[in-house]
Amino acid sequence: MKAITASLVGLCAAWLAFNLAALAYGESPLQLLVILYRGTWGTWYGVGQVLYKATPLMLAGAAVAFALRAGLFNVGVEGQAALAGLGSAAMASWLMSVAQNRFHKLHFVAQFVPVQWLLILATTLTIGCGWALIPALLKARFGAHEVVSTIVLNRIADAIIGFSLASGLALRGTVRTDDVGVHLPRLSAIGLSAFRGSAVSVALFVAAAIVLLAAFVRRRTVLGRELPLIASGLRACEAAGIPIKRRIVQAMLVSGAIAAFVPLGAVFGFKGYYELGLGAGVGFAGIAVAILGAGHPMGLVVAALVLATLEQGGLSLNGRIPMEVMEVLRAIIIIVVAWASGALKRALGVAVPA
Amino acid sequence: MYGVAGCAAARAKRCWLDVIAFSGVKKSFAGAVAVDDVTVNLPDHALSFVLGENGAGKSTLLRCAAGLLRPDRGAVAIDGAELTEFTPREATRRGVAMVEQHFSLIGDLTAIENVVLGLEPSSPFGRIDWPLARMKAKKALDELGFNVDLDSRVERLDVGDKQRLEIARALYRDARVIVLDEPTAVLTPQETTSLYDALLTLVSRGRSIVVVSHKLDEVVKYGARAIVLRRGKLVKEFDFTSAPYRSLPVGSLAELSSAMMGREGAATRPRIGRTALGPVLCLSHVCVPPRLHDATIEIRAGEIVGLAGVEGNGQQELLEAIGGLTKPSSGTIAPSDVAMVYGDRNTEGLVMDASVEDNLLLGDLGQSVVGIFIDETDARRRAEAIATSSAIAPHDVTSSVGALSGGNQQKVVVARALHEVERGAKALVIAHPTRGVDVEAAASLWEQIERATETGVATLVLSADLNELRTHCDRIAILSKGRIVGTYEPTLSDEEFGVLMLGGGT
Repeated sequence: MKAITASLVGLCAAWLAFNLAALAYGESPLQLLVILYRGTWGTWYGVGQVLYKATPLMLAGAAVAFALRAGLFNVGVEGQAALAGLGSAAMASWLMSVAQNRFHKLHFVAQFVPVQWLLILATTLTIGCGWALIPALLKARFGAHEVVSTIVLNRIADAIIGFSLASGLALRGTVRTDDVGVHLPRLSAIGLSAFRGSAVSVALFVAAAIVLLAAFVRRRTVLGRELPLIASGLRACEAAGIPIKRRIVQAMLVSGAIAAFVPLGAVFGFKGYYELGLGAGVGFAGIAVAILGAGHPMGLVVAALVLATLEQGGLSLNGRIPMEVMEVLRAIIIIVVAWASGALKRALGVAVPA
Repeated sequence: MYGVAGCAAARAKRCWLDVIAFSGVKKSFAGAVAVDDVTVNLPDHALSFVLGENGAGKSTLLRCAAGLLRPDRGAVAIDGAELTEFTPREATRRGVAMVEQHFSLIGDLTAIENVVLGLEPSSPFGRIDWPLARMKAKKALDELGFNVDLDSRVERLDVGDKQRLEIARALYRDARVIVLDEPTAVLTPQETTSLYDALLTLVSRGRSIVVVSHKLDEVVKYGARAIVLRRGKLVKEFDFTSAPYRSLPVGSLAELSSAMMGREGAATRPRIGRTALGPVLCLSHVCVPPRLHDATIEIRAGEIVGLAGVEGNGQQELLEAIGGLTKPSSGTIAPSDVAMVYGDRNTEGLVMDASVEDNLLLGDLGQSVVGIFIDETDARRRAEAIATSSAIAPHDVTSSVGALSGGNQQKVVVARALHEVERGAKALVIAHPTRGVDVEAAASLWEQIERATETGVATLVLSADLNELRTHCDRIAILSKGRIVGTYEPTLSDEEFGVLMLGGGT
């Protein structure tokens, strides 16, 4: 209950800021709200777009939230997601070229769709976990703070991606990979024709499944149960024989694994390739989702929908107020929720040092 | 002896004015009432005691006066003026200083830096005026009669000196009344005497001292006034000043004791002679820098060995070495699976934010696993079984462990260790089993420890409470300055133990 209160306070603050922004630009808040509604939940296309944008957000949020439960800040979701996106797209387009090349020895096997998905899945997980393993080991072995190491690794990931694309992974003259071949069908293609034109695909269901799976791991595995204990009582856990370092590494690996699926919707459900700069900013948006979602899987999904609505709504409002205002609202939510959680703790009677 | 004369002089003064006045103070933590409607006054220019068993509310009450806690209801007045802001800064301004049981000194800084921390005199450009600071600090130390190298690092000082430094800090802040919370818990008998000498000197120079304690002999020897709390309520007040000025009944040890515990002192069970078998827990020349130099001892199955010694002599290092948290730099310890209960249950024993169930099963969740998933019903069942057999109240294992009383919290930690014993651990090491625990819970804990020992476990109990060790242990070893200096019969007197703890031979 306490956590939800902080989130609600954050939303109220965002609402207040929205009103102030509207008035500052000489617009009527209510009018803007109507336009926002029409661009997001008012039409099926809008709903589809919101769902499409919510897909990577809920995964990024789940990735951050899982590590956060152990007191770890995985700010590296951005890098883990980007590398996994590039890697999975590269693997998929390579398989496609092998499948089309009659002279390649793996030609027959590569045409088999389940094999393709299996290899794509394996690549995604390996890269996501692998990139998260680095800060995990640095923390376990040297005590290096994961915020610093993950942010640095994000930049390194950017460089690797740029270099790889320039060295041949990209189609000549572009900054994107070749077509991935296999696709996750759009929702409009599997019978929900109302979503015609929208980018939303079955990746949405995959994302929701992963979020639920993460919640299941949290509740029903030893790792999931011990992480919050380690976060709030490290010494007692150590004294009781819990392998702290191993758990930290495991937590980061799971977080990285979830993060790896973030670009799924964009690469395999919409664009059909990986492009330089795809999903930029998703790491920080994921932090906002995790904080707003207050650690509950339903909360994560709702938070993702809220932030996706803001993002999509920003586009419709762009004529009236700049869409960057939505990013400001997102930042306000993070700050206010963080403040409110701390303020609630203080209000419950613990003395404040002078 | 100076002490006796000084205290007679202090007692001869009239205690007219009240330095701290509590009126209807009430304070609860997470639903548990710690202080229940207490109205009492503490006199000026005197050494007063606030007595009570662990958990009676003594510390909580005084922390309200020191600005560390805000009472839920009621008022606190210092020198007749009500305290409006409950912050340490305001309390300092009003002249109240508190020396807590666990010192708030910073080890890395020097003595002078610690004394002036937070109230450094500044020169015009915001720089610290060290000469002035030194002069003021020296004045405080002189008043205390304490000589220490102001530039020595605090972590190098021994416990008695650290405590005096804390008092010097209070004097530096011109504290009118200094509250000390369980100051003698970490002192040898000799250090206790010299502490009280220093405190009485301060009283004779016009300050007021309040000592929160449960040590009755000290009260009768040094106190001018004593108030007794039990379960958060004021039970009785005693006055030890000389007859013409006395306004309240004088108290004897027996009267104080029965007021504190509500009945005629706990009857001590005659200890049943235990037959010990072969050695189980063997330490051989264990050395863990910086404070443990040579620990050698053998504890046999079926016996309870006490390890007496005040904090700072290597206890923590010894515990960590036995528990496997620290590797000794030399020496051997066998066996490796020892059920441990560490000294600081708040940080080393319990995860305070978690539930009772989580704490009971801490580190042991693997027992309830099916494949890679946890069988929640099995885990709940195991936790409830442990809770019931250890009589932990309340029975709801999903409640937060932080809401339990000190006694029940300790039961959780001990129950977990006893469970390990049930599942095969051959040795049990417990540090401070009854610290912060009320009398009934303490009796229950010792009963469980004794029962476990009788099944053939080798038990080692570390404690600074000699009486407790005398009552329950088959023999008592002494840890002094990093060495186990020998094991002795429990029949030695306090003074004899005190000398041994200081490192003197028998």
